[in-house]
Amino acid sequence: MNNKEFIADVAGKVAVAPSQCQKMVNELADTLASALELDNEVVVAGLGNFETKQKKERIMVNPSTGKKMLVPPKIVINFKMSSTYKNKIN
Amino acid sequence: MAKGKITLQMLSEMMANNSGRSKSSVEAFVRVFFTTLKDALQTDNIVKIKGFGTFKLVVVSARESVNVNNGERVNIAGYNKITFTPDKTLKDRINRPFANFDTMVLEDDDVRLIEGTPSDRSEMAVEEPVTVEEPASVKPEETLATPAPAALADFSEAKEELPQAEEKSEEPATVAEEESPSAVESELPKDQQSPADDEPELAEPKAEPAQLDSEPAKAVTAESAEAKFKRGKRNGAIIAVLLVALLAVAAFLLIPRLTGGEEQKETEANKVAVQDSIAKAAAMQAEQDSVAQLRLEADKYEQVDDGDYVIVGVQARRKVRGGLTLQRMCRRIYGTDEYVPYVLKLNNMKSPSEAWAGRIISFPKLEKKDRLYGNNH
Repeated sequence: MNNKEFIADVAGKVAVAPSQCQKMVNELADTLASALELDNEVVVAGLGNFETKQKKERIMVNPSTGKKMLVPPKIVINFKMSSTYKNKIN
Repeated sequence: MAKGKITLQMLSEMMANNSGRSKSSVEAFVRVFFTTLKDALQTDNIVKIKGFGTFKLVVVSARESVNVNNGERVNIAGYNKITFTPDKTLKDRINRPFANFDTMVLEDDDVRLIEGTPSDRSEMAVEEPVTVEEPASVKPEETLATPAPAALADFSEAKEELPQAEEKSEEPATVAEEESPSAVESELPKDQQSPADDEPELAEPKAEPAQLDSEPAKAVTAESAEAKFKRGKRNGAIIAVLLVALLAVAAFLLIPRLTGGEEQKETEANKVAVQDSIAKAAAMQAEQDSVAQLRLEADKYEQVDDGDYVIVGVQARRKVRGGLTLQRMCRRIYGTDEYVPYVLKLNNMKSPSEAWAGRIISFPKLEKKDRLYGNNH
């Protein structure tokens, strides 16, 4: 399902215009980020939870140039399925 | 490090506050959003949401692995899972504390390549931006860097006093979103009001804007971003230890209550024990039979002298195709290339280079030596 279909679907169910709906999606993403930045887990019942993980820096070899490079540390978002959802799709 | 759990309801509240929309409409929207997502994932296997990210249903195939305790091959069943890759905006937003970091090339004589593992040297990330950075790029980075230490200060401060921080830390967090130098000044007095007043980290956001005028931003940002993250986590760890200590005391008090129920369970345990021993005797007999059989088979083959395994037959025969190595063929058949010496022995080869294209190689069936010959062989 692409973005257009998804937004149209949600907009229809909540009775808002698709453009408004997309704005709200952006706001939701923003709020999610704010919550995650404070080192919290966002739990969506029946689906899973979003959390942040810090990745340490590491040395890697660039396959095209063959040179060794240093990848900097970073923070990433991780999504983990809940056990109920896991059982549902298996 | 205890992470606070945010429910959908709390998320809706935050969103309503941030956007100025009514709570009821936001709640309905959030609920519909995730229900639609769930349904869509069942009909299509991929849902892409602009501004958010992509959810994909991935089928993980079954794979052969090795039981770490006894070296036996085990099968891990296949399953379905959902993966989420955040959108660029979301990814960058979360990675803001490390926004100024870039991958860089390491020359062969670089110190980091010799000393220890990268994880020990993550503090050293401080040095590299100073040396690599060009003077022209310092200025734009300076303005971007200033919200970062403040944001991360909130990151760790909020962890320490969660219930209070829930409301108060929202303010500095939202302020941090405005990426302009003026935001830093207005943020500092707010920091003073927030709960963790006596935190040493508080001194740093104030000191940094002054330093930034004279030094390149990256070095200081890097140090504070990384160190604060870790310090915050360390403090969180101390709290976790205290909680564990409390739980231990509670458990200690509950033990007398648990021992009362043991008499009932004993008679049931007796019945089960008898059944178990019958089953065990039958299993032992079956095992002895198969071991005797296998020993006969093993005698037909020349064995590897100091190996843990015994060749008891031929498991498979493969023709070597161009570019294939013996290691790769082993991995395909056994899941590991540990057994290459046994393959060599069975095919009377001195080295894997004898596996030329077109040659047919026999892959042995292996049994653990301990099983066939006991511990002393």
